[in-house]
Order: sequence, then C-alpha cells, then structure tokens
Amino acid sequence: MREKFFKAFTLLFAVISLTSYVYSIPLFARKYNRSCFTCHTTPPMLNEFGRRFQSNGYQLPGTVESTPIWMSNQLPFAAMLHSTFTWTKEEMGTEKKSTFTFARTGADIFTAGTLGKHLSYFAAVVVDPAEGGGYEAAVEVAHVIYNNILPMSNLNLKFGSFRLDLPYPVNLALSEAGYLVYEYASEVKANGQVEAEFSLAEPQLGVSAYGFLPQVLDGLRYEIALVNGTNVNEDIDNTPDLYFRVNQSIWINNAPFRAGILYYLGTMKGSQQENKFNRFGFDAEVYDPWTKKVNVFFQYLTATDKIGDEERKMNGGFIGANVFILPEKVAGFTRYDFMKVGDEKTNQITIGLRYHFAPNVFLTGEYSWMKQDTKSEMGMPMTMKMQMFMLMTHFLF
Amino acid sequence: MKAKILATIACIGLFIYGFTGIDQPSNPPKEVLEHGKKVFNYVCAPCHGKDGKGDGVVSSTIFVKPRDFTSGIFKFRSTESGNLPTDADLYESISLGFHNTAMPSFSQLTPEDRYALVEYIKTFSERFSNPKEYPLNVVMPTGAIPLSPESIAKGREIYLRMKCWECHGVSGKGDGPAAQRGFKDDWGNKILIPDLTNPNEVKRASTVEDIYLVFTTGLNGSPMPSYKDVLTDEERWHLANYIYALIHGIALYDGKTIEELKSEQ
Repeated sequence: MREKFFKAFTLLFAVISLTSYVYSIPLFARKYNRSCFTCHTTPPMLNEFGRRFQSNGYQLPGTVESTPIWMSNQLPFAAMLHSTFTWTKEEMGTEKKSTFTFARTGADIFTAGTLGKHLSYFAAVVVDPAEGGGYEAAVEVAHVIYNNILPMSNLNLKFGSFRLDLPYPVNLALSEAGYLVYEYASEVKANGQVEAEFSLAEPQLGVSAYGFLPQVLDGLRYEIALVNGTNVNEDIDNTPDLYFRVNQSIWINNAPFRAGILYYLGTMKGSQQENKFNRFGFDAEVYDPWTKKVNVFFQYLTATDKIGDEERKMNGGFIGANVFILPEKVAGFTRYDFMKVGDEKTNQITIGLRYHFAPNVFLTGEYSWMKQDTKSEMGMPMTMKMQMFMLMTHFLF
Repeated sequence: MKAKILATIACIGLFIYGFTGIDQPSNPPKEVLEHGKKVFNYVCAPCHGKDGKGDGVVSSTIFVKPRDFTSGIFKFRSTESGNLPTDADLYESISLGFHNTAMPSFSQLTPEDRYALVEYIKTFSERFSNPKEYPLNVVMPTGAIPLSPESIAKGREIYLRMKCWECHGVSGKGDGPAAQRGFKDDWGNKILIPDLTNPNEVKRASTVEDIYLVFTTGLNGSPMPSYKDVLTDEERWHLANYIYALIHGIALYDGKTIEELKSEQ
C-alpha cells in the first residue's frame, strides 16, 4: 500500500518538477542583434519590454513588421538544450528512499516570426528522453497570430494550440517546480481510467482574443479565449470552454504593481461521466520601487468540479519572490505553494539560484521540499515528504 | 486623426527642410508632443522610465543602463564636446540602436513616431529649451582619408603615442591597465571598455565616419574625451581608419597588414 503511494507521489512530484516548459527564444536575439536581456530578466522570465514584445506578436512594441520569415536572412529556428542532475529523498512513515539521477539531455526547439503584415506565428517542439532509451518529440504549441488588429497591440487574435495567458505563465517561470494550483487537474473517467483531463498549466486548442492596452493607466492586459479544455488532446465533447483574464498595471516610481483576476468555465463530457468545472483566481505582483531588484508575486485560485451529484473543491495558491542580484549574472528565486483538495493538503517550498556564464548559458541550482497530508483508502492519516535538489545547465542557441 | 495629420505634415516638413533644433530650441506642435508621449510610454518607458530618468523597471536587470534623458547629456552626437545632440543625432540613435546594449534598432517605427519621440525626449531636459545652448556646433566629417595600409599604420602610431592603450589595451581588447581599475560614467554606472577587435562589442562604429566623430566630439558623460584640440583633423582620420580596421579584422592589432606580416617572414 505504502509503496503504491510512494510511486504515485514520486510520479506526481516528478511530473510537476521536471517537466520542461521553459521557453526562451534566442532567435529574436539574433534577429534584432541584441542580448537575451533586452526581453528577459533572466531567461525565460520576461521583463516589461519582453511582455510588450510578446503582446505585439513577437515584434518590437510600436511596430508592425511585414517581411515574412522566408524573405529574411535569419533562420527562424532556435533551440535550448538542458541537462539535469537530480537528488531525491522520499519519506513516508519510517520508510525512506534516496535517488540520484542524471537525466539525459533534452531539447526545446522553437520557431517563430512574421508571416506577413499583421500575421505572425509561434511553435515549440519538445524533445525529451524517452523511458527505455531514445527520445520522444511532441509539438507542444503551434499557433498563428493575427496581430495588431487594433494598433499598439490593443487587439490580437491567435488560433491553434497555445498556453492560456496565466498571471504567471508556467513556461516563463525561473523555478522548475510546477505551480500546484495551475497543475491541478479536472478529469472524467471511464471504467476507472482517466478519459480526459484539463489543467491550467497545459496548452489548449482554440482561439483567443488578447491584447495590451498601454492607454489604460500603466497598461491593461486581457485575454478572452474559447478552448477545447482537454490539454491539446482530442476533444471528447466539442463543448468550448471559456477563459477570461484581466490584469491592470500601475507603476509606482516606474516599478509595476499588477493585480488581476482570472476565470475559467468548462464542461467535459466523457462516455460515462460529465464534469462541469471552473477556476477562479486573483493575483497581485509588485516590484520594490527603489531598486526594482525584488519582485514579489501572489496567486490565489479555487476550483470546483461537479460530476453528477458529487462536488470536489480545490483552493490554494502560491507566494514567491525573484531577486535580481547582479544584472545579467545572478538571480535568486523562491516560492511557497499550498493546495487543499478535500482532506488532502499539499505544501511545497522551492528556493534556487541562477548563474549566467553568458546570456545564453546558465547554471541553476534548485532545492524543493514537499509535504502531502492525505488519508489512505482505510481512512488512516498519512504524511508523505519529499526533498529534491536539482542542478541544471541550460544552453540556448 | 487630427494629431496624425499634423504629425505627418511636421514629419514631411522635417525631411524637406532638414532637422531643426540646431540654431535654436525647436517648438513642435502640442499634438506632436502628445503623440511622442504616447509612443514613449508604450515603447521606451519600460527601460527609460515614464519620466525619462533611465530608471525603468528593466534598468535593474541590464548591465548597460538606459540613458537618463533629464541631464541632457548624450554620448553619441555629431556636435562638439559638451553640446546637446542634434535632432538628427537623436533620430539616428532611435533608428539604429546601440550594439552590445539592450537598445534595439527601432527603424520599424514609423518616421512620424520617431520624430515625435525625438521631440518628446527633448522635453525631459531643460537644456533643450534653453536658448543659451544654441547654436549647436555641428562637426562635419569632411576630408576623409581613404583606408589604406599606410593610413592604418599611422593610426596605430597615433594610438600608441596618445596612450589610447592605457584604457583600450595594446591589442585593442579593452584590457589596458587603466581599464583594470574600472570606470564609471557621469551617472555612476560602471562602464565596460569595449573589445575593439569584436564588432559586436562596439556600440556605434559601422563606418569610419562614426569613429572619426567619436574622436572629434568625445562621448559626453563618459571618460572618453574629445581629441579635437590635441590631434589634427588628418590624425583623427588615420586613427579612425586604424580602429575601423581593428574592429573589422582588416589589420592586425599592431597595425600591420597580412601582406606586411608575410614579407617579414
């Protein structure tokens, strides 16, 4: 029984810790002949300029480019190689287990750019070591953007597979540890097997209207999306889900204070179950207005799943901080995640340090601690603990 | 719409009659300034800050700090040391950006946007509206000496004689003894001495004229002085030819060409 829990817990932790979501796109550094730090505080986290660059269809803010990638003298491809060493220690009751792992090098391959006036695109392919040897590749996201329908990136449309514009995008976080509340999955089962699932952290298929309005105070971001809500898997019910997010910025001494809300309303119809689920959350983020080197962020999120008469609720969130210690050299980060689902409580703390050998080559050390209080099938309280230390090298070119 | 028409007219006028602001403070229409403010807050404020002090949120995470416009001190100009830049200088900086910094080329911004930005950026410093700052003494890069092995060798001799190597190093790699001690600019920010053998490290040196202007005007706000009064015009062109050759790998760091090196073997 305990071994079963160990396996499930290890799998959960591995999934949320080692999934390589990280995007950073050196192809734009090449295209514009500028360092990664023009758009990133440290890759992949975007700075304020980078956020506006992204909102503008991967073009410099205020510009609408028209030269398609095939007319450009730059190859619109980039890649990031990452290698990871992991030490893990698991504890449940008196049982303890330690593991050392050297993960084989994985890669993320990106392509993005301008297709024509007001048209741009973005696609990412993730290549990860497969179990039992070899590699497996998957197209993670691929979408076309009709940008600047209204000027200054006030209104854009994107079609295809994309990540929802979350307050703290999972692919742009400095920490490798997943956000617990974003990873929380709503699902339907058939004969005890998961038939389909949704989580905010995963890419979705659909259409999105989004934009940045610099005219509203110091900038308002919004997204309204209709998506299939099954994590880019085949839709099982063709019922579009709705995602809405708005976030307002106010600058205090040029340091942004941001606050926003998000709402997701979805329906998943399986062959045996129907799940009507939602997410509601609010977020706030602040930079210290003196040095602008400390960034503190917060998210609170609730979820409700209704399957027949059964209702399951989740609530939780995270609070974290990024510290930009030496520009273009050293950055630190930390986060505390908490989540409660029924009787199950999970807490996670991560802390890490990043050192840049070069703008596109960096070493990251990260320590994570996780504790889960739950009940066994017999109704007995159980506590599981896990610690993990990761050393990662990233090389972008 | 009205603002756009006015900005377009102002811009066309600008191209027909050349840039203003050399003889006296410019007096742009209010609509141009409003348009400039709108573009600045969207495009430039993340780095330069809404009030142009160079303290935007991005400034804390980049090594080469964004320009503080409130002091009215600009490094890259076509005007004599201590002078304000011309409108054309500011327009060029926006359009070309600067290598080895976070400042990209904004040549994709419309000319109307860039002109409005120039006018709006000038409002951050009182120097631009002070008639005593005018007329600006514009340096015309005339009398260029063609790039030749002889000119490069003379430039090398001047480089050593004027002790440029103390900062820039004997080989031009920015590793001179003075550079080891470190430099700060007038705003208190650390300065990296560029490796003159690496074209990606030099902020603005795509032509010999660009380099000649640096020697002639100096880089205001930095330890790089103007050599207008200590070197003749001809010497500055030789020196510019040598640095150009160094940056673009045409000459070896000691000023010799490959042919000369071969003949010595």
